[in-house]
Amino acid sequence: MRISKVLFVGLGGAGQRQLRIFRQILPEETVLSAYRHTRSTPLLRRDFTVDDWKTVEAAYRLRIFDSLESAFADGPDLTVVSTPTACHREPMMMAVASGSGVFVEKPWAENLEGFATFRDQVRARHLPFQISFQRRFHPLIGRARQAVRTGAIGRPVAATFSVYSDVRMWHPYEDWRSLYAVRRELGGGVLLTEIHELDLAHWFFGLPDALFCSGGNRGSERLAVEDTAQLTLLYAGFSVQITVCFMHRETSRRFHIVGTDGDIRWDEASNRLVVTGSDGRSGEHADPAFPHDDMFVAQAQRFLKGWTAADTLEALTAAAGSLAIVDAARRSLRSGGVEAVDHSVMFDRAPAAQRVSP
Amino acid sequence: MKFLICGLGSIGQRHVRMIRGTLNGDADIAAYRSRNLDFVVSDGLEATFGRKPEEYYGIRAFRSFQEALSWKPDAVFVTNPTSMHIATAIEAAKAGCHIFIEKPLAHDERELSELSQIVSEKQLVCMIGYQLRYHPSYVHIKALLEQNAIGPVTSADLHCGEWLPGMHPYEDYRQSYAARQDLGGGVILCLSHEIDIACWLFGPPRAVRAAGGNFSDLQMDVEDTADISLCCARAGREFEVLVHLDFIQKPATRYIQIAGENGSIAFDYHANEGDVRLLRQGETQRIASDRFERNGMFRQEVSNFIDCIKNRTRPRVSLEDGIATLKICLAAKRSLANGKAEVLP
Repeated sequence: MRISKVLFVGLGGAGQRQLRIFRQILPEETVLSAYRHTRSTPLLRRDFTVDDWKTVEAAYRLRIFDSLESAFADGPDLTVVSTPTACHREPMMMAVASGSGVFVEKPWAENLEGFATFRDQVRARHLPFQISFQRRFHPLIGRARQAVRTGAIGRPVAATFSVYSDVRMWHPYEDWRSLYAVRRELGGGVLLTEIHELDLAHWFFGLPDALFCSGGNRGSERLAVEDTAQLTLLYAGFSVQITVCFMHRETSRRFHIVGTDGDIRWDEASNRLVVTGSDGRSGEHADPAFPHDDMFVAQAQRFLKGWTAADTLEALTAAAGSLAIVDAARRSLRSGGVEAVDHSVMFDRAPAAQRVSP
Repeated sequence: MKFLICGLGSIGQRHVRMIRGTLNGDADIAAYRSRNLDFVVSDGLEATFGRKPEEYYGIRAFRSFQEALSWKPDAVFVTNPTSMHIATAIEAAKAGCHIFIEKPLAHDERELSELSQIVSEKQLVCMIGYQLRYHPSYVHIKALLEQNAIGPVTSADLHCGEWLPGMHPYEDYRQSYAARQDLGGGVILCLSHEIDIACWLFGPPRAVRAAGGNFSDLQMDVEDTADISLCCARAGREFEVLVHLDFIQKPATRYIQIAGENGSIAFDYHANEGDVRLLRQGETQRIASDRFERNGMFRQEVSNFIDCIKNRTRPRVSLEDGIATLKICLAAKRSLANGKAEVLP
């Protein structure tokens, strides 16, 4: 992929992180520009504290456009979309129409409306596409997936994924109640915002056949979106239980995968992965000092250097699959019952979400 | 006191040892045996074949249940296969005996009301064998929740996986009650401790959903895996409790994780360690029972049963508790079959 111009649409916390990392990786002569709708987020340091001495525009020598139309008229090779979730679709569609590749923050959008058109245009125009599911670039998570897929613990029997965080503490530089994550009209809610765990289940095991989900506004803060959701993904031969909650004062993230011949445990706090065989012997990998940023850097490097059509296909599958799970989860929240996961959003041929062979 | 043990499998034999340990020479123990299997099982589940347990323990053995009841035991331990529990318990209750029924209480709801009525009318002590309620760490967790130490609960996970052929290594698992529909088997009923603990800690759920089935290569006609979601509420706040049960895991795993607004609790049964995070205080407390030994739960359970008989008090796991847990198990089985949420009254 030859990149001389990159357009950033949305420069809040997530957008500035991508900007910082892309700036580090791309050659100095690459022209970076931006379209900012609200311009409300100041320049942030790597640790998300505010740097009052400069503006984002000055710090990164950004060309600023006043409209999306003028931004795309400039002909960017790549567009990085980091707006609130509900605002992803318009710049992505415009990017593709203008012949620009797309790198979008997760989730692809608040639902799958328009996805088939987007997918078909990306493929027809041979454009690069990536969605920021950076946990796929975590070394120990990747190792765990490899263990599952090579049968190191036998056939999957069960898995539990959980993530707890406190949305009130995510962005100390802004009023959390204005954050997209807690606003329905911006595509908030914990299902969409903490979609990583749904993506990991999809990445590890493929798209489930059906699921049931419960949850809602379970915390003490009255929100218009669900702050807690618990899903049971139903596969042929096993289930996966997922808890996502962003109204918990203690951050944690872990998974436990059980197979017929052992199990796998990973915990983010210790960043320790333990694979135990049926004989009780364990292999352990730990990297407690692993920098969070490294996942994003690895993801960007992979995208910017040597991205292939197959990678784009996998990214599109990831984007669609995770939202198909969210869509079924929402239906289940309303119906109270088991809801089928729509596989029609996937590709007709060569589904990238291969099942783990029994 | 006179005790009649109905069923001298491993758990029946364990109760003989627990009664002896509790009452020493004050216990007169007999057994009613129908299968007459000749092996003695130790605390560590090692079997010695070719030895009649009644001779090993020096207890009398009856071949007829009516004859055994005419021996006029004070209490009957119902430790036969699950599908025979209620009929045995009703006969014992009619004879005026206090009853200890191994978990699960039954495999269906038939005759439960008759048993309840007799137990109530005759003012009998009836206790169900959910010994995990006597585990010091689970007792600790219960106390923490009652003190509201971690604030309103937002979610919980209880996980229990066993390797069925390894649970009773001295017998062919395919013949065990756990593997047979006709004897009241299946992982939901046989590993119902987690469901009972959930009910004990969080109260009865409003609705139950379950997924699972016979997923392994084990030869059985019952479910070996279940993922159950219990919709619970405390102080007007709803939350979900996820329970995973399976017969497929080597090595066995069992843990509980509870998230609250002001903290969290985690305990790993086999590692015998866990912690409580109290966020307001900025403290982490260790949960562990340094002197814990598995038999201690059974000893306390039997001791509680005997004390309740002596003092006519309610046991820690009453018949009502057993019925509540059974109803959840049966709702989970229905949900597993029909794919729908089962609402409990």
